[in-house]
Amino acid sequence: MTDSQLPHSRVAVLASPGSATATAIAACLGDAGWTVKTINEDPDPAEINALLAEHEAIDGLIYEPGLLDGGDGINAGDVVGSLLKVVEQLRPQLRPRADGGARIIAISSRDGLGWPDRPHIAAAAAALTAVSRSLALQLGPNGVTVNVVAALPPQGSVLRDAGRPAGTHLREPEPLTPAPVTPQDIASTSEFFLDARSGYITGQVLYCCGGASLLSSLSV
Amino acid sequence: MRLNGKVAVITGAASGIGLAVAEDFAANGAKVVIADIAADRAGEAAQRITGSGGTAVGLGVDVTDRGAVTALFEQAEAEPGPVDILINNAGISIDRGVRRITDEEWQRTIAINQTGVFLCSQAAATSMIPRRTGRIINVSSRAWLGWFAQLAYSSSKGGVVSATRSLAIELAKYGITVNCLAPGLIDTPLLRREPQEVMDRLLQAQPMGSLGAADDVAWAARFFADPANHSVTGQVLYVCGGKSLYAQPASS
Repeated sequence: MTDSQLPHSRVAVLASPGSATATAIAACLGDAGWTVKTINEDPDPAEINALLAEHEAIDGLIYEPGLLDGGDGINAGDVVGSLLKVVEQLRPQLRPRADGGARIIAISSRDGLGWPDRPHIAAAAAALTAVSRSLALQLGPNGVTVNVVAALPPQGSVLRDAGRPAGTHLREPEPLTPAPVTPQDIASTSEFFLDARSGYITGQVLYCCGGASLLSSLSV
Repeated sequence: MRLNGKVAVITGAASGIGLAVAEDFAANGAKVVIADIAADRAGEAAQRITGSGGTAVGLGVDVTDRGAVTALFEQAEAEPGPVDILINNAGISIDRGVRRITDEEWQRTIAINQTGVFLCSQAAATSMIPRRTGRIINVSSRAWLGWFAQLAYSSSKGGVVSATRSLAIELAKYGITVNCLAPGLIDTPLLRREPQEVMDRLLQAQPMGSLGAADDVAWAARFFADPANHSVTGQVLYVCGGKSLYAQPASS
């Protein structure tokens, strides 16, 4: 598909508790001509039904469960359970393969590679990857791609000031590249996966981390 | 994602994925250097791009020859200018099982697919480091994960993945990102030479049940080449329709 063949009207559902990353994604997609509908990351079925009544087909789902902002209440089971629930509800209206298919992305965290004082976030992040790969295999024949953006907690996240985990000599991961990772960087990477031209890319994880993931064996 | 005025050297660019990348980059504002072992076909490809309003030059290069690689970068620097983007795409695939592959076939595969990446990346990095910016994109293959009768090819492409990660770590502080594309089944002239029976088997192993297009890879290359994309480095992106997730073995 070339630039001139891109569909003109695209609808994305952004499921998020609200974060700087979600705001940046909505702005980035809006600038690119998407219509973005924001819902809670664990929405009431009625909320989704109302949304589906407004649109004939959904082109993209961005699931952003807030892992990059930390929080003690994050639970792997809840995080993947909500994603599966939202996908199941949206599934009948995801744009069919004959019309270019649909894109699903999950916003995850570099913490999925392991981090001493955030095992609950690491578990949720790793689970998101495993679920996304499974969904990619499940939905691939329908032309639906499922990918993951796993980011370093970006500039502005409270986790950037988390400091040294208690009882370790480790420091919070920093990008190897000169500039900090920003919510806009995560949004740009998300937009790439959501693009109609990314239809042959599925089940993948892109780390938006300035190279901070490279020192883990799990990152390849 | 526009590449206005950026100089991109693309090896193995006279056909297939390399040509698709060159055409895509030129259509999006880049000045492309089509480098290929076949100098005449590189020139023809460059002429076609120039005829469509793009900026391109075609140059012959053997990526296994240090002198030829040095000459390529000197010529590129003179016209169209210092290299902003390098696409290490030149490669060969010799499909032979472990009992049949010869020393010469093994050495040739490693020389083109792996040493070529080393020589071109070294030349590009030397030019990019003082300017504190640059994009290097290596074309590996999903096959680096392993596949039937691809001992030499997958070994060489695994080396490309390792090179990508080491280059990314070393060059990050200079604002140079290094990423890797790992295409799966892509509809190229080389693949079309396969008998239908083989094609059917290959497609059955595909989770999405389809072939990719060279344009799919070019689009991913443009994402990595984007000057604004400074936080994604050292990544291996499979453009493979899900084959990297699971591929049902259909032959042995």
